[in-house]
Amino acid sequence: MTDGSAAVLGIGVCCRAGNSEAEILNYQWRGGESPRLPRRFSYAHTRQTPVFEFDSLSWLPQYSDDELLLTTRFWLYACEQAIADAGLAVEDLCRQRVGVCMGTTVGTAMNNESFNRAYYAGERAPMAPITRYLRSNPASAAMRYFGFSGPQLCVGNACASGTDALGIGLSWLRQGLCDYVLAGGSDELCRVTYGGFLSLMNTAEGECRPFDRRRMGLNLGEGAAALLLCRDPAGAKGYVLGYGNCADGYHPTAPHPEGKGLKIAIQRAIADSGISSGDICLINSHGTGTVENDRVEGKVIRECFAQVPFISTKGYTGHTLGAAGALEAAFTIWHLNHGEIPGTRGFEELDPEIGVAPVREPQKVEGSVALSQSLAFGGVNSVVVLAGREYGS
Amino acid sequence: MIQELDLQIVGMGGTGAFGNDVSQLAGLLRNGEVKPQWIEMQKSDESARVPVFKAAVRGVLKQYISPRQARRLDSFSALAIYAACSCLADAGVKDDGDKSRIGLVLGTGFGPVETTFAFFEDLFVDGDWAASPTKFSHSIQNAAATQISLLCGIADVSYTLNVFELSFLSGLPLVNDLLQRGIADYVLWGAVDEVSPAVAYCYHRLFGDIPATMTPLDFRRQTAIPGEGGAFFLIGRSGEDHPGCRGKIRGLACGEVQRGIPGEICSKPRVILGADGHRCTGQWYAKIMENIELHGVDVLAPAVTYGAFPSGSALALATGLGMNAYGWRDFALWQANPDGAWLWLQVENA
Repeated sequence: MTDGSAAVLGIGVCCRAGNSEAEILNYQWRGGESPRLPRRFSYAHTRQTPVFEFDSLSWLPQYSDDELLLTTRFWLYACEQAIADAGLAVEDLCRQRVGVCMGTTVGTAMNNESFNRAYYAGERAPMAPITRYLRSNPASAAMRYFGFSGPQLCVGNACASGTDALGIGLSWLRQGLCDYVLAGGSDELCRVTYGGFLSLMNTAEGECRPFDRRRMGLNLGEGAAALLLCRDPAGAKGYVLGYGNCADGYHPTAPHPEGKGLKIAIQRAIADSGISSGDICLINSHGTGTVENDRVEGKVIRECFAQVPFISTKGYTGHTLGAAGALEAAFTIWHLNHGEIPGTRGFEELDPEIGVAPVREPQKVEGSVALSQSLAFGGVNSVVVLAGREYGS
Repeated sequence: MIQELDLQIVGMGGTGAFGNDVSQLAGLLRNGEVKPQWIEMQKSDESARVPVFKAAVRGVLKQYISPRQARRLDSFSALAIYAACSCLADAGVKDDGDKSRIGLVLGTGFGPVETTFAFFEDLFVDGDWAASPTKFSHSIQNAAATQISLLCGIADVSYTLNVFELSFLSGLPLVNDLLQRGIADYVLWGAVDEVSPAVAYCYHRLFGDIPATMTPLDFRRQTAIPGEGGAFFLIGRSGEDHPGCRGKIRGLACGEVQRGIPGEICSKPRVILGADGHRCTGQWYAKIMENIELHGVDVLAPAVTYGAFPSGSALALATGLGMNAYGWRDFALWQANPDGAWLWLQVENA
């Protein structure tokens, strides 16, 4: 292509809402399901908050003789699906320069509880969790598993990681570093994130209510999404047109009250994509359901895009942390291609302080360009401009 | 394929067991010696002494931030803040100067391992309810980048990257993109890792007795001594010559050893290897050397001055820049990972 966009040739996903475009859209049109208390682990706390956890992992291959972190296995699954969705074979890709750029929070953290517990107790600590961690860097594991030899990167920008990975993948293609990029994100639910978010008091005891006046916090989720990107638009299912990032420099965990960094990230993404803000027909917001995130993000949407329909899909998947930006990019491309968006599950009542409401019921969407935005711990804001397959035609 | 780059390094700073002045690294490598500390370990019925290369920045942080701010930092962020602030100072960026057009790209292999362990410790001592929100938020991989943005006023683009041994050099295409697209005028690019008693324990369990001296160019031996530290570089576009320019980055390439190494990058006469005494990566450096030795190169492996840690190649770059004092006008930096993936960087000293 002569412009700066990347074609999305294939999309692979796994999350509580399903493991394919058909399953997930069907789940969303049906209205989704409620989160429930975690089953894979327990956490001894007076507050128990529900999550969007996979029912079972029987569908998930092992992928390696080495035991790999669940986050890494989710990622490999999503990559395999993306390659298949593009109608390509791994052997074909191996003859090209293929890079892997993904976002995660858990997949690169040395946070194994069984090792740490034994080490703390002065016992002989098991080494298997450490060797698993060392072998499980999701980008490196994908390079090894598929036999690719291009650039590799994991982005550790907390909840914005998946969106940043898409933006960095786009920049690799523009710089000619590789012919294809598998870009996206992955994260598993685990006791560390569950307990950590409980300690921050920002998980909801019921379903999350993005942008609702009575919102009380987020629901954690898990999953992965991989988008196979390249510069050649033949067979494109959608496009990544542009990307922007900016930090608030305000607070370790809270967003800037005026959304300073988010506004700059939006401006940068739009400028990078070569579109005008009037082209945007849809915003997939971060919309976690926490008091502060939604207040700031809603305020920015009201100021910058008062007439543009926006949704949060966290009520269908939970907040999948490092995977969130990639999953939501996948949803956005599918929604644009179908010309229809689901309602924002969990939203009922306008928050006067925000002053704008997300789309509540399924509705048609006209246009082919959308924003997907992510706000993260550390005040990182990332925005990607996406288009459906009809863009430019 | 080589990505041709035209970037200048206008400042550098960092820390490690060698001290808090990265410009001394080359001299130490040529004429000095850095000795590790020893940690006594007592677990179950076994005891061991494990050498570690520890940095010491607590006493010098007050040059850049208030004692109150310094007290609140965990050890990982303290290393990162010192490295970042000393780099900005080296580049002549004043504390109260305009930093609104400086981006941040930080690599780390392990991230804040001490704080992660401290988060668990609360759970082990008092139960799940005792999880600390502060420790949790400081255990997130981008916590150090957040502290740099808050304490140094670097609040533009911000990235934290993790791919173990490749964490530092893999960030360079992003740095280049941010500069070439005009998103930032300068990028603070660096990498940091910390060593904790738990990391040292892992070395002991995985590798047995660790020798007191690293011999990273003996690729078949496991001699890695766990270390910590990091370095930052202030990177700008070339063509806007900066009086304090320390060197220019001319090219980057990546690949996989088993697919072969392009001959055009094997002929640089001066080479810095990221080899750090790990046999798992040593096997790949040995293969790389089979290619480049044909050209009669001068090879250094500076990890002996700071130890083994995933992002050590940031300090390897600082060493190469310091070799200017010994007549190195240019050099190539090689970094490999245990799978045989490699990155190659070409630098001209100023």
